[in-house]
Amino acid sequence: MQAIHIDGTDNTPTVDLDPAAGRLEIRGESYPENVAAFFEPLLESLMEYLEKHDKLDVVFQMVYFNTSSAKFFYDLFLTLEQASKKTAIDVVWYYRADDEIMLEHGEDFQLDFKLPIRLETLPAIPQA
Amino acid sequence: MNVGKKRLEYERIFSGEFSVLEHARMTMGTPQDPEVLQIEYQALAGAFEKLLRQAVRLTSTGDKIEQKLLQTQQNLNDKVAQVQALNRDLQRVNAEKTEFLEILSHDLRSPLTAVLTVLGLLHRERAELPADKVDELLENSTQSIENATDLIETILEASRIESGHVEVELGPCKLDSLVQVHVKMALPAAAKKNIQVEVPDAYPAETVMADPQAVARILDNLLSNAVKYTPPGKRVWVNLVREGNEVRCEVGDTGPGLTEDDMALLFQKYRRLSSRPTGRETSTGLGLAIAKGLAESINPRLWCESVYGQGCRFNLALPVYNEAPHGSQ
Repeated sequence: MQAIHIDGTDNTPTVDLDPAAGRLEIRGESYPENVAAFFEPLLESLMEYLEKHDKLDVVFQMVYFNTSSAKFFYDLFLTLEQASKKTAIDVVWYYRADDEIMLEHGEDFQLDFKLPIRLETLPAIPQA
Repeated sequence: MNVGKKRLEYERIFSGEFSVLEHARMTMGTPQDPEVLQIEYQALAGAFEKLLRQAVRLTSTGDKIEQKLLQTQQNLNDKVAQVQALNRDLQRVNAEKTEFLEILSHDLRSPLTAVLTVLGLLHRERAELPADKVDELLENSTQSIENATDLIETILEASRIESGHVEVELGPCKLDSLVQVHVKMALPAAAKKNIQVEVPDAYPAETVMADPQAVARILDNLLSNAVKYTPPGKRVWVNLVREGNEVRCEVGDTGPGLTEDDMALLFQKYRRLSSRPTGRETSTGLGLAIAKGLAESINPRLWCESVYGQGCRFNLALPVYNEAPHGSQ
């Protein structure tokens, strides 16, 4: 399958699905105009990847996401949870040290899914 | 985007959940074997449980987003308040500059106009004027030019202090001698207004750590201010007090004193407060700002105590000079 690369914009995240490296990365802000149109193709490609591979490293580094995006993240984690029976899944959820809310999002996903989700701190943005 | 289309997009987000419902409706809406019904029921219950888990999760997500939005709004409000404060400062500085220009044009024009008038008079009527009248006119003109020069020097000094271009040399400074000399220099101005300058019989001998020139300039400003704002016939007093490791020089007057509003503006530039000089002296409103700026540059403290209607007491506190013991590292 083809690698997916989507450049981030002001309201959509940077997405990389690299089958050769066995890696999925989602970074930035997510509040697309049409959430389904943005995430559905990614979810389909992910399912296709998971059918054919036995290992995936997932990296989230979100600054902000809206409720609709949260629904897709939920579906994505559900897909990963189901696949984890036969595929080695490792998830790292990065959050900035001063972003308590993003930390809580990560903790919620840890509670909701039977997946190895590690929470990793990034340096806080210095105040002007 | 119209509401109907947006609604369809949101439904698309839940397309998986809708298809489970649709399937259940089709299967369970028609007569089925109990076994098929049980399988369908279990699938529907599983999907419902998943939906509930999502609802809980999405409700919590929505609340977090709202919380983040409120934080962002608070940060934004703080920034706006900062910008507004900065704007007020800029407006104040601008008003100071405008006032400065008004003072400058008025206070410089007056002596220059006087000199021009005298020059015109001399040009036209020199031959007819008696020699002593010519001498008087020239003396007055010289005084006017000196006043204007003093004013320019004062403005330049305030500007140097403001931009931090003041070089001070700290060293041992005999405060009692310095005070004695500068009180003496203030006596003629006081005598003109019949103001009595009260000093102790002998100042305590005190050496402080300071820049003598800066202290001299501060003392001149405090003394000239005290004389300026004290009504004729009243008194001004000067004292030196040792307090711990500090020596305080007090300059008191029996002028009108300061209101609370005046106290807030006291050491700011170009502030001429509610009280006015009592003997037609000029005031630029720069003297105390210069004194305060100099005081800050040599690190002593300068403050004023006043009760409205009862005069002011200015205090200049300087650290006592401690000679390093011989042989110390």
